[in-house]
Amino acid sequence: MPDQAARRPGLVATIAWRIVFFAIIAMAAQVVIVFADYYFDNSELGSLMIERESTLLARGVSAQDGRWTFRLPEGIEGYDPGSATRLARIRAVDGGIIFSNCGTQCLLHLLPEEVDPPDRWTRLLGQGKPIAVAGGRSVWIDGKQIIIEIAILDRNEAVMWRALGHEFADHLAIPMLLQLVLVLGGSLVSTWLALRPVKAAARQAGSIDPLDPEHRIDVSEMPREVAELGAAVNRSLARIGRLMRDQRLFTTAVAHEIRTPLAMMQLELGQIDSPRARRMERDVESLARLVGQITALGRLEAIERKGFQPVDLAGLGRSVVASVGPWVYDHAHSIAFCESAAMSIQGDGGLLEDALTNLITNAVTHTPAGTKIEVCAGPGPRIAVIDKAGLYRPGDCDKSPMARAGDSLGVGLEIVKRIAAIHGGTFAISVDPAIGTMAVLNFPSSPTQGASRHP
Amino acid sequence: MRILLVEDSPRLRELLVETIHKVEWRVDAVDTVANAQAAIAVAPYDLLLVDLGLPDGDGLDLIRGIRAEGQTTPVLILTARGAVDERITGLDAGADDYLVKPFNHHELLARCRALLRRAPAHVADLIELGHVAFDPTSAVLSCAGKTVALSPRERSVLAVLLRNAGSVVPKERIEAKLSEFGDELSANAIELAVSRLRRRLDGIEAGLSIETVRGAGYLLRDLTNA
Repeated sequence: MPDQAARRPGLVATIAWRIVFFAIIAMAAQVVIVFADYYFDNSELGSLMIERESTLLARGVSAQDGRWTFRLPEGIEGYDPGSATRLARIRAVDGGIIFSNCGTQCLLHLLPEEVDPPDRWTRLLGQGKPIAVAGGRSVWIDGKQIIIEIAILDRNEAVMWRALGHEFADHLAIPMLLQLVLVLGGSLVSTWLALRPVKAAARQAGSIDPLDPEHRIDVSEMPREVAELGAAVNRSLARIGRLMRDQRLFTTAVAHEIRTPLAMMQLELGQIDSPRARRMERDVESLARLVGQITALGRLEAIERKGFQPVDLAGLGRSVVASVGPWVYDHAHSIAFCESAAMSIQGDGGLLEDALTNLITNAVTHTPAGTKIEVCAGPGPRIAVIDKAGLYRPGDCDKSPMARAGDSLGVGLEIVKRIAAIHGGTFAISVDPAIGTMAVLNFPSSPTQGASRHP
Repeated sequence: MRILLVEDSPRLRELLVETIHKVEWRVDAVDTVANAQAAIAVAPYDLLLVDLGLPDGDGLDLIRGIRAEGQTTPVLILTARGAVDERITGLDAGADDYLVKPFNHHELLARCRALLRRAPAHVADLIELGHVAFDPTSAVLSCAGKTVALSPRERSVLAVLLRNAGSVVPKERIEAKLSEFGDELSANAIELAVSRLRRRLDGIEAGLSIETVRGAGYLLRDLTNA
């Protein structure tokens, strides 16, 4: 589940993509509206054409030694001398002609030279498209005013599109891009800031220890909506805590109610001098072991990690070997303990003792008399139970090692696996036909070393 | 030997009394904390067998109470609470041992004997195990009425093992005992003493076996009960 969640796009990315998508649609709509507005208004479009062409022609005007010179700028076409389609006349305010590509045509379409022209003027020379337009404007160059007059008579589509393109770029595209960047940036920052408490809540929820029923998400600094979610999670955690406590009470009650009658049965059978009674005693022992394991399994569901303490694995192993030693020898097996740079781990000494005892019981139950069992702590945060029975029974090698559980249900090994998991560790069994079976508990390293509840 | 049994289940109480009577110990059986306190107040007991879940309270409170009064009578808890942490709680309360139900009569009597052997009130008594008897006061070991010659070091090792028969005794504890005699212990002094003692016990057919639990200590087993 965490991997799937990591692969999903983040909310910020989703919002960014959506903003960009809708912005592109809005921009496209705006372009269409603006284009239509200009395109169907010939008067406005003619003014734009005159404005654009005069600006381009002004780039070719310069003053050298008090004299005006003109050179047609690159990329400007159609203003050749004698052109019948585009007329241009550039003159100084004192009447001197700087550039002109027309003779009598100028007299027909442009203002007379003796007229002092307005700063800007435009006159449509015909209706409809293509647009024929004449106009002019005054331009200041090097602090001096000049007058540029133009008449566009024919084959003027390029001029029209150039004017429209320039209008779009200058007055539409740049403002819209600026707006997009600001809106997108602002939205993303706002979203990111709004999501911070959600991320913090998710971090807290992710670090909740399922074995600590008192663990809660801190909702004190969350916005109301996120705090409501956090409070709901906290209510669930409280309920889990209550269930854990109930489970503990239940398993204790079950253990008590079943163990006492079993004790009576064993004592009663002990008074009967018969081989059948001995067989029943063994059955009762098996039943008692199973009851013990089932209640232990139930207890594991109610374990609280807050009770974890540093546990010295060497001390634990030595203590368990000493504790079960008499039972092991009573079952005609032998046991030994070895240590090799074992570490301490953070854990529940009682549970770990249960796990180790289970493994030893398992080894004794499933190996022939005389088998040597070794409990080895280390190296590192590791403890192993090795039985040196070799391949003691034909066909056993074909079985999974897990099939060698201490009971038909495999509850004993399941308990060991769960205890390892509760401590963040792993449990593995391997069979070496030349030596025997090795059951290994590996734990994560704990920064805490030293003190332990086990001697 | 007088034992107080505190158990609320009538049938289990009856069976336990029957088991204890078979080894000719006397036993007073009660079913509540209040009755147990009343019995302890009027009679001296060598051993208390206490169930934890009692109708008028927890057996742990009874144990804490008698320990608070300074009584050193050995206490064996008989309970259905089998978790390790519960056992630790019981021992922390002042119990000397913990027997989880169900158990058979061999187990019960072995635990009782072990506690009685370790009890200070019985230091001067004769310790009998297997086919031998050992007098801790005179440090004399006898088998079938004949005295068995032991070196001082063998005697002190045997004394420790006999008092803790059925349990693994750490090597360090035996070392501490031998050091009391001012002996300079060589690296393998304990192994040597145990090895000699083992041969000696085998030679007299003592019915005892000393097992070396490598890395943990030594275990004295009564083979006659096996």
